Amino acid sequence: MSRVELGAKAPAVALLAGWLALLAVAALVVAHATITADLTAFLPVSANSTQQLLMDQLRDGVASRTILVAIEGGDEQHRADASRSLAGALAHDPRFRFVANGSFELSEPDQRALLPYRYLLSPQTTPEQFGEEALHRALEVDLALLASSSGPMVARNLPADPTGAILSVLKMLSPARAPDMRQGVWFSADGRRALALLETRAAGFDPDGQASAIAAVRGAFAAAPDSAGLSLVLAGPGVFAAVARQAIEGDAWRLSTIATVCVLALLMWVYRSPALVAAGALPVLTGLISGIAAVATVFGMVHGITLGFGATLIGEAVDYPTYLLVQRESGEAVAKAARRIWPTLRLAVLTTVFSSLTMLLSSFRGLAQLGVLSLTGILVAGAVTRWIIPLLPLDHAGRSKRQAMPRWLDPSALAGAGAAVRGVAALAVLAGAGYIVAQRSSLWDDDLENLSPISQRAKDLDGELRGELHAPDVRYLLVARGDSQESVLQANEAIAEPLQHLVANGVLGGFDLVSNYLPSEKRQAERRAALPDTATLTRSVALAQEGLPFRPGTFAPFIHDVAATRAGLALHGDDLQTTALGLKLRSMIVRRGADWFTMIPLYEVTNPDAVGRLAAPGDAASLQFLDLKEESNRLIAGYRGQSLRLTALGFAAIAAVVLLGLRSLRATMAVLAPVVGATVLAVAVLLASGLKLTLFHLVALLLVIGVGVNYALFFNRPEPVLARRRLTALSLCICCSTTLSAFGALATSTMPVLHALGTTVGLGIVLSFALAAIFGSGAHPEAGSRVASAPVPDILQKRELSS
Amino acid sequence: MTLFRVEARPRVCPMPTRYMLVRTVLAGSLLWTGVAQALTLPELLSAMSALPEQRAEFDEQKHLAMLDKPLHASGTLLYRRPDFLEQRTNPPADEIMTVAGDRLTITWPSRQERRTLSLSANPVAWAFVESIRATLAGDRAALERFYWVTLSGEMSHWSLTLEPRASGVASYVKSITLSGKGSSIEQVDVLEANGDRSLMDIKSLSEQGPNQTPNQTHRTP
Repeated sequence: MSRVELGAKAPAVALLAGWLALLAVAALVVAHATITADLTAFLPVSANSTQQLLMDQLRDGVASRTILVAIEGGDEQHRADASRSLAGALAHDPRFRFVANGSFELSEPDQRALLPYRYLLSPQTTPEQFGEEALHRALEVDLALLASSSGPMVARNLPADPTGAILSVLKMLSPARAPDMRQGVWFSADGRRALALLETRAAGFDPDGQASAIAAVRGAFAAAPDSAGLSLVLAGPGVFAAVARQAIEGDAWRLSTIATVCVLALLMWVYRSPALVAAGALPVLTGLISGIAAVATVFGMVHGITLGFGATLIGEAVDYPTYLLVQRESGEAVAKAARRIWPTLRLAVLTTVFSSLTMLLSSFRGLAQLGVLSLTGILVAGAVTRWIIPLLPLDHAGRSKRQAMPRWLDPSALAGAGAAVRGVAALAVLAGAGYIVAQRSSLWDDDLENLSPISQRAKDLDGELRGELHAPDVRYLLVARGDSQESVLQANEAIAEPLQHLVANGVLGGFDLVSNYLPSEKRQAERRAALPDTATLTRSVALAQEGLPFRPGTFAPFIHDVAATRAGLALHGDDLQTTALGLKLRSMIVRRGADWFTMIPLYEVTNPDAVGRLAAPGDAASLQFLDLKEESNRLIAGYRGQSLRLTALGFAAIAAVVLLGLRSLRATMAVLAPVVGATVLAVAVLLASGLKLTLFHLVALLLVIGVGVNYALFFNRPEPVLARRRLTALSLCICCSTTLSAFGALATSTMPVLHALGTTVGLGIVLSFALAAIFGSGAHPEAGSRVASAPVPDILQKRELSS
Repeated sequence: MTLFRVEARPRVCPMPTRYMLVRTVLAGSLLWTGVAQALTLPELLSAMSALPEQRAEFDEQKHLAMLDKPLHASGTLLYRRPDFLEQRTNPPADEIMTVAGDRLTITWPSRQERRTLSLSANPVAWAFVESIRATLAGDRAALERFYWVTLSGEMSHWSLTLEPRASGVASYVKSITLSGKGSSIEQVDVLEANGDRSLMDIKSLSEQGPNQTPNQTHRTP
């Protein structure tokens, strides 16, 4: 005793200083850490180029950036006015790339930039177009236009463009179908909603950027003088991502607060000492901060999801001080109790650390982050429990703490039930395993949408607005692939006709080809070749003018421009850089290593199979049809598959650590069997209640295994003294109650993610506790001897003997 | 004939006293001769703004530099307060142009084509539209935003000359002169910068149109 006391002084100061230094450094790192909310950052980096492209589309694609806006209420005039005010206010907001509420028309400067290239862009550039007869017909149309109210606008370009090439280009560049127009703005077909379309600069899966854009829209709407009495409805992937995060965060904060209050109240009831309750929070807080700091150091950033799940995973560490402080006998020094339970606690910490290690092997950055967070957090929390808490002046705190649970809660009552209860429990586990095997074909739910907290009503609304606005389909996409920009542009041109055919057949509402904005060099050369030489054109124009009132020489600018184009004018991507089309070009042509890709957005796909037949299967095909939903589900399945393999590996690691620690196969079995049984039963109960398993259930089960192993370790701890066995039982009972109250609160959430976490952990914990209590040898003196043969450090054995 | 220029904003007038003097002398001479009182812009615009809707037929002659004979077009006009304007041009032009708020839509029914554009993004088209629309709406601010406005004549026969302020618009149109009787516009004469000219004769179809000359009662005793 005195040896320990003497040697303790100097290291005690060093330990405390070290702990405070660790806290300070970790807090500093955390304060400067980048926390990202980009959901796709959680997805794999080693995918093939098509999958990478898919990720880019999910993250960055036009469809994912689109916000659909509807204004409801009031009368038609009222809605139209509000729509105009809103569009006017957002037009110059840097958060938006594109704002439209009544026209897709290009701006005047953009039209001027395109003007010189009109014969290269226009699909009407054919030899016939420049013949005498065609020109004569064009001039007749021009005459009618001059007579109309748009005459003054037409007259200016007419000498240079009598064939209306610029108009045909503008027509080609505007979408095939536009929404209904009322009062000069877009309206739904029934007139109840004024509609608008926004494209955010922020990526669709950047919830912060989307939240800021949504705030801008709501702010502009509220500030509009004519918005009183109207309501604003927003939809789109980005809006949903932001709303989902907000809803989850809101629920998480509220329920975490409730859970914290429950846990604190429970601990106060047990300890009757605020100092002990506060000390109990130290390990998990130090662990969490260190864990986040470790992730930030290793990965350069921390993902929001890592934080959420990581906090869940190291929730196990909340139990550590409970084991220590509750199992301390009255009058026993905290330091002494810490040394006494350390062999078991160490095993509890190491099992979790080794199972976390397997997550580091993951190719999914998110899972690897979780591994680092949980590994560091648990290790630090365990160390703080063992070496820091005993240094705190707690020996006289909580003198009146509970020494046992009320009799009806005492776990040793379960043990007394004996063989009959064990038999029933074993049968239940077997039945559960059988049920899982029977259900194995429909075990997993890989549809991300089922986890989305977005209501079905909101999803329906999105579909409705998308249809009315003729916005690009969020689910289907054609991708052309080639080894150069020229080859992908030619691939686009080749697909134009088959796609047009599908539109004519009603399979497809429309499509958008980048080759319309930037024709391939081959196509440009063809169009140049279609232009007549100057002498021929001059003669044709003169003949075409016969019988019409145009003065001779009026069309000299036309003849000049055709000659300039024919002489070798070419349109390059760079020529469009400064226009709105440049932006579109950049989002539609993507270069990835040696591969070039172009996106072909589709509109109103009614028969995906028919569109899919245009494309060839396989990753290397020059044209691929992507079903973003199916692809992302496949990614999630891959994610889940790998997580499952790593979980199995983690369990093997736990088994190995337990075996090494206990040096007895039977004792190891006694520890692991209740955990396996509880996991099996929990999964069976979840499945029986009609649920399918998701990633979130898997994370929850990882926690159940970690905590369950700890329960079993303590229940199997050799304690010859009955009073100590009762204290062990009490501590486990409290651990179970705190975990249950915390996750029980989460289970009441309407958010699928939080609900899944809450129910699975709550259920798993109770089952682990019950099975560990029923099968635990610690509760049975006669069985305890089995594990008693496990090596216990000398110092501990001496102490136990002497006490 | 009296004539004065209406300034859009209170600009610094070099010789305000002389301006006042002209007005005083003018008023005196009117009293003396008993000639109809000069019409002011507010009077004309308030007469215009009394009407909720105006319908008319038009007949237009366009003299264009690129053509060796004038072009002829006819159709109907409709204005509805506060900001709706529609011009239907009969075949062969066969075109419907509607303006509602900021949106200008041109439809060619025979070709089943439609073009829309935003007035705020197309200043020239906007200026053209407001020459008629702001006048009919009695919206002096909108009128003076685009044009230097000159009014001459009396209620029974007035003439409103609009000259573009912005150089961008001025490079298209030199002046637009509207003339009419009471709250009816009877002719629009557009002189373009390139020398093209269009003359549109308008015949009101609204019952309250030609007969209503409310300012007749304002004659000096």
